[in-house]
Amino acid sequence: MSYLQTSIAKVTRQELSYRTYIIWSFLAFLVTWIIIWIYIILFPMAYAGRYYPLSLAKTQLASECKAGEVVVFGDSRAVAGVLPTVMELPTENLAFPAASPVETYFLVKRILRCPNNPHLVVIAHSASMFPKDEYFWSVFASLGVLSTAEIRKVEADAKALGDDELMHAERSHSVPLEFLPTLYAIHFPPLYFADLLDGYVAARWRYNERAMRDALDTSGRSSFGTAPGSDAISGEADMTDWRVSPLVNLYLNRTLSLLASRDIPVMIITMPVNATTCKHLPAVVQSRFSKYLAEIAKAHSNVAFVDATIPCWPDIYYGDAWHFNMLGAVAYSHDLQHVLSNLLQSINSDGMFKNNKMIMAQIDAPLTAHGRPEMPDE
Amino acid sequence: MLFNSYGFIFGFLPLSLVGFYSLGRLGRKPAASWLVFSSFVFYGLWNPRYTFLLALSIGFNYLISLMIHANRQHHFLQRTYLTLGIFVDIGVLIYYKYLVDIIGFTYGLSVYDSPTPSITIPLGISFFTFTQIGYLVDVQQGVVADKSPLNYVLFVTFFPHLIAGPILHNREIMPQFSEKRTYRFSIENLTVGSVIFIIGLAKKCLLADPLSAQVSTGFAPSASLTLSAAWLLMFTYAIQIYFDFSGYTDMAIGIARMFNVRFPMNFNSPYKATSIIDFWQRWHMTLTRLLTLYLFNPLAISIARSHAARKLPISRSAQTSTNAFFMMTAFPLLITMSVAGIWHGAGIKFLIFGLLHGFYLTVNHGWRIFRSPRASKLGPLHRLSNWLLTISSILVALVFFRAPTMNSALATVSAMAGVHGLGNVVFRNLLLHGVSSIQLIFTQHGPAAATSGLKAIENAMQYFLTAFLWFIVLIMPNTQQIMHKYEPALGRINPCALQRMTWKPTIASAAALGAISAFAIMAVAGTTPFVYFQF
Amino acid sequence: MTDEEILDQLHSVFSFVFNYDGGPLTMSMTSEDIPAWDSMSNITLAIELEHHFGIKIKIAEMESLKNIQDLTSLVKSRQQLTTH
Repeated sequence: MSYLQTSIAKVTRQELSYRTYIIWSFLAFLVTWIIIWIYIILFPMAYAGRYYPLSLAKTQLASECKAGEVVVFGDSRAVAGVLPTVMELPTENLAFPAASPVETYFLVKRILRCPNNPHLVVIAHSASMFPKDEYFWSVFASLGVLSTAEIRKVEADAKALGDDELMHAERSHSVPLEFLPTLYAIHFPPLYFADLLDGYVAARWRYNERAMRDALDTSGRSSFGTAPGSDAISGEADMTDWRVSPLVNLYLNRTLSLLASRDIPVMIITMPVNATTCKHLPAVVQSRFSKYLAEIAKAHSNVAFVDATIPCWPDIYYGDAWHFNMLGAVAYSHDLQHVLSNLLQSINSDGMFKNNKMIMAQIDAPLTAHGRPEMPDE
Repeated sequence: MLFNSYGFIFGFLPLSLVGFYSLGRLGRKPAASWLVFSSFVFYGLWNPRYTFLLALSIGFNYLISLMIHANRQHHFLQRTYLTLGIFVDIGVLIYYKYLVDIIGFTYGLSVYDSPTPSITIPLGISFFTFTQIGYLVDVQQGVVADKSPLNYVLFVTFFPHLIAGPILHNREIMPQFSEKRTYRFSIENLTVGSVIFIIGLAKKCLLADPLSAQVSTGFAPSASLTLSAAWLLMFTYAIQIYFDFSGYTDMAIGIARMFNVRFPMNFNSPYKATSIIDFWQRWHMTLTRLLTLYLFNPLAISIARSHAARKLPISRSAQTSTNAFFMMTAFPLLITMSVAGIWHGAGIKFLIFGLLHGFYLTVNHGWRIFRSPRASKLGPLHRLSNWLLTISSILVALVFFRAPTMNSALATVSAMAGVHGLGNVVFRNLLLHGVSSIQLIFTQHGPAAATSGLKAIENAMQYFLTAFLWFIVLIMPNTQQIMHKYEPALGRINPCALQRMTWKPTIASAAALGAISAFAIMAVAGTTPFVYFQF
Repeated sequence: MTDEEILDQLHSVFSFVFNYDGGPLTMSMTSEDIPAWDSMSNITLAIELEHHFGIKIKIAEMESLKNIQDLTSLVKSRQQLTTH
């Protein structure tokens, strides 16, 4: 028998003592663990979900520091809805999927490191992002979008406010909360294993590369649903009440103050929901949300224009329950850019908006009542 | 506390083992007491208050057993104590588990959606209640040899089986706690137990858990299922619950083995069954055993005896009369399976699940009673059709087990019947659809292509994955067959086709074990509580 | 009664209850070796055994009927109780 055959026979047939067996098993465990750990650290493009290439694209766009831009922040509705390439105004879509105002604060801070400031910042979060920072751990800590120091800062702020929502946010409960920031920083394998399985280890490479390239080509726009219209109902319709958590409120105010200190005007808008969701939207959500945004606008002098009500757009513009499809993105971006151009024209030397009432009327019209016959009356 | 958690694997279990074997040097009683203590801690880590309930239940039942034994000359008193014991046990079970639903039912609240219970169901109450009732009956029958209190407490609370079975029989377990060698460390038992534990952990975390999201989506209220989607959903759920439950059972068997204790088998490749009768001999075997021993047998034999006493014929051919068939066969089966159904959970859905299986068993037994015995063995085509019929019946009943509401259950079953359209029935079409979507990725540009193509691949992968897992379940040996050289569990292990896939402590198996355990331990972090936990 | 005599009589009981027409019974056989032996026919078997051997079978012993060895010892021990 050849040497290979005898080795194979030895490895598969010779019985070891139990102690030796345990040692060999443990070694195999260690080797496997280390190999997987290295893979997880080196090849996220191969297995990670789409938020990863998007985060790479957004980081790169932010670091490019293009001058004289409007920069849009917000959550995935804004990611899907704002298409800078059809807007004549130089715009950048730095919105991030699953972002709440907490994460937006840090993203805003980053672009303020650029030598030139944006002329206008748009902040567009869905109503569902205010009661809780749900994805703090599962998206932002996991992707490393927030650094460990930033994570600890948010935890400290939450503790000071007596707000325990971070404990109940979406996260793995098998490791203690205190270790999570460090474990994410070192890419502790168990926290990334589910992604590894979902991505079938390496099947997402092509899609992730393409997603990153497309996001870069369109200055930050990315699609989610691609159906030619959707009558599915998004999460806002399930809300029985609306409130803003102390943590989210703190960070939104901080963001606005930070921008005010740099004399940057802010427009807070609410991305539209589809018509079917609109029909099921509880009135209490609308009223409380509007009231909150109006109070925010009053509190900060650089925020004068707030699209307070949740607008309704026809189902045909939606690729899924939440997000605009390409048709919707083009239509919405055209409207948005008119509004933004008018806004920019009306900014005086102090960076403040002139003639609020007139311009308020101008905004409400295009963004809330897109002129199509199927548009439901409210 | 769950077996599939870091706290258990790296904290509780090693501590418990070290304490057990260290105290074992001092003698049997210290080690056994440590085990009892650990088991109460294990239970209390979930909810400290309910440890009092557990202790009370054990104390009450042990006292009753003493009274039953003391009165063995007085049959009437014996039966009175037994009845009292069973009454209280079942009463406590009903109070914690079913009362909310019963009240809701009688007040005309929606029978279809169970209201959110305001009573937390104590963990494992179904398990430790039924285990103790079995013990009481055995004492009354005079077949319990060992009545020491420490062994009894350990028998009920021993933490590997406390929360989710296997349901132990006192005769197979209590003697093991009396043996000296149970308390002596054995590296063989530690190794074999660890291997079985890791196989169970891998089944649960790597095979069952990844499927749960997919199954939940399928049962979501917004899901509108076609025939193929509904059948795919149920084939997937059947696999999920099998790997989930048998994985957890393997973990229990493995942990017990680490303590030198051998547990009975609970699963024997149930999806290889070619009849419903066979299925229940292979699925949750200890529950079948318990219900047969303490419910079915007493019921059926008392009916049969009364028939015989009234000089009514009871032979096989005589059972074919309608009345005899109903009383002697259908009635006991329906009662027993109804109990099996509602043991799993409160609510009409579980009752229907039980009744369906009672009906299936009745049909199966009826088939055996009414048809003339077959001389020749069944051909492969015949066996295949038996298998298809068995599996289909199981999947239909399983809908009622899993569906969140009655409406959802009925919608899914009607989808399975083809009421909502066929969907991608032809697999070849499905394959082509997947392939053409992939082609689009390379030709089409823009972000839209990326998302829809990936989705198509994911859909196709679901079919492949489910088919692959069914292949594993039907072809590969089960855990006991893999470990059969080391007597992994009590009970006869029938040989499997792939005889060479047995475990031996070789370098190759060490490498495989190490790699699998690495994957399984990583997967623990994304863990879901296991399905039978709520019972 | 000797073991052989018991096995002989069991054979005729089995052919009545299970339509068993196989070879002679051995001590190592169990219910899995006889196709028609399930929980229903086990009940019938218990009644038949009680009739045939004039013994009484306890509920706790019904599952041990499924093992020929246990069944034989059960019959033997019960027989000893009834004969004086």
